[in-house]
Amino acid sequence: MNLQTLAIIGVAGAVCILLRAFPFLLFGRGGKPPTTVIYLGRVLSAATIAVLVVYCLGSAIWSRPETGAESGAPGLAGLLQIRGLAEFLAAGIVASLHWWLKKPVLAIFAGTAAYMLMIQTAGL
Amino acid sequence: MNTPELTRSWLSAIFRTAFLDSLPVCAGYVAMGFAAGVLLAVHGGLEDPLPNAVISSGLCISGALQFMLVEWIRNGTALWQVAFLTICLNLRYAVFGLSLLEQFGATGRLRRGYLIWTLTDETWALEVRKLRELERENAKKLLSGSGQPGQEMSGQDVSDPKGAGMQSRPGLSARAQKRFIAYCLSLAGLNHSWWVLGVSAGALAGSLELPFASTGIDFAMTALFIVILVDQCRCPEGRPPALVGLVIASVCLLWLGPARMLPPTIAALLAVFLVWRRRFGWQACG
Repeated sequence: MNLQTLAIIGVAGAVCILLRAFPFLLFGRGGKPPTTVIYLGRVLSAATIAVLVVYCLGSAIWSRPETGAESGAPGLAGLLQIRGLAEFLAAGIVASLHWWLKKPVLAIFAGTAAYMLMIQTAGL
Repeated sequence: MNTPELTRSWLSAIFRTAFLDSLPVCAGYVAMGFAAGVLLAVHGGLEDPLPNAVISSGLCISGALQFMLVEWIRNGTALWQVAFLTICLNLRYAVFGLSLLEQFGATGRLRRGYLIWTLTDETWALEVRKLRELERENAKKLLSGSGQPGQEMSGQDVSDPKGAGMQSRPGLSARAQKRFIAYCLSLAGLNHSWWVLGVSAGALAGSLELPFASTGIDFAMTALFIVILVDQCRCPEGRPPALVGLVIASVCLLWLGPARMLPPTIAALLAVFLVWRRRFGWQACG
């Protein structure tokens, strides 16, 4: 086992458990947390998910070599001249599948498969 | 006040309920965990993915984190960044406990510790659903006046059971409290096992070096977040904060790029939510 890997897992796990224990450590039993804390907890957790979607899509787009017009690449993206087209299409597939069918696992697998197909073979 | 012991048949009935409730979670956890495990084995750059998979999935029990861990392990990310990003990623965990403070607080340290450790989105949602169900049952009993509400209330407020039942939300009877904790422990243990099982199986499958072009498989994590976001947007109250997050994050992404966007995004979100507090009088859905 690699020590650095273990340390990373350990830190992530410890922070995770501390987060879950946070209200119990802070307010104990019976105590009432301030309304601002409850409010921030709710809006921040809701907003964070949207932030993470942007962050992940951005990481995926930025980590790939530029396709489309800038690189003169062939393929659909070259024609459409849109960077990150595969990411947006795949995200659209996941969102619409889950919105209408309410099948999270299906949506995730279909979207991922479509994405892999697009970047590996379609040259998007 | 005597607390009634739960008999074995009671316990097995509770376990059966928890098992049935955990089946959809099982499907999701095994499938998602499998994808995360494959990713760890294929992209993590580890010689021994399996023990890492078992330890990380058993310790963290977090879908998003499991995927991020692959990235961090491969890049050897600095520990303070790991801590910071884990907080950003799983900030919502810090509010889950608020709805279970009273019940978990009343149980023993070891059990409480395990229940807190295993508080994932799905486990939390099912536990809160069960709690509301038991509360409704209890309220019905109190209102109809059957049984001995004065003896059954676990709270301090036993002198005026009717008033307590009418005014504040009724607590659980001692027996219901025991049932609830037994249910939570069963459910938490089951869901925990499904997750470790899925991730380990994925790591094993991934380390077999199947001839499989895996480029882009990490999109599964993005897809997971999109699914959570879609669920959140089904409820109208969940939309404004999501929209604010989307706009601020997009601006920060285009301005600073993905590597440096998170700290300013979080700071801007805090500022916006605190300044326009009244506009986001947001209640949790469901």
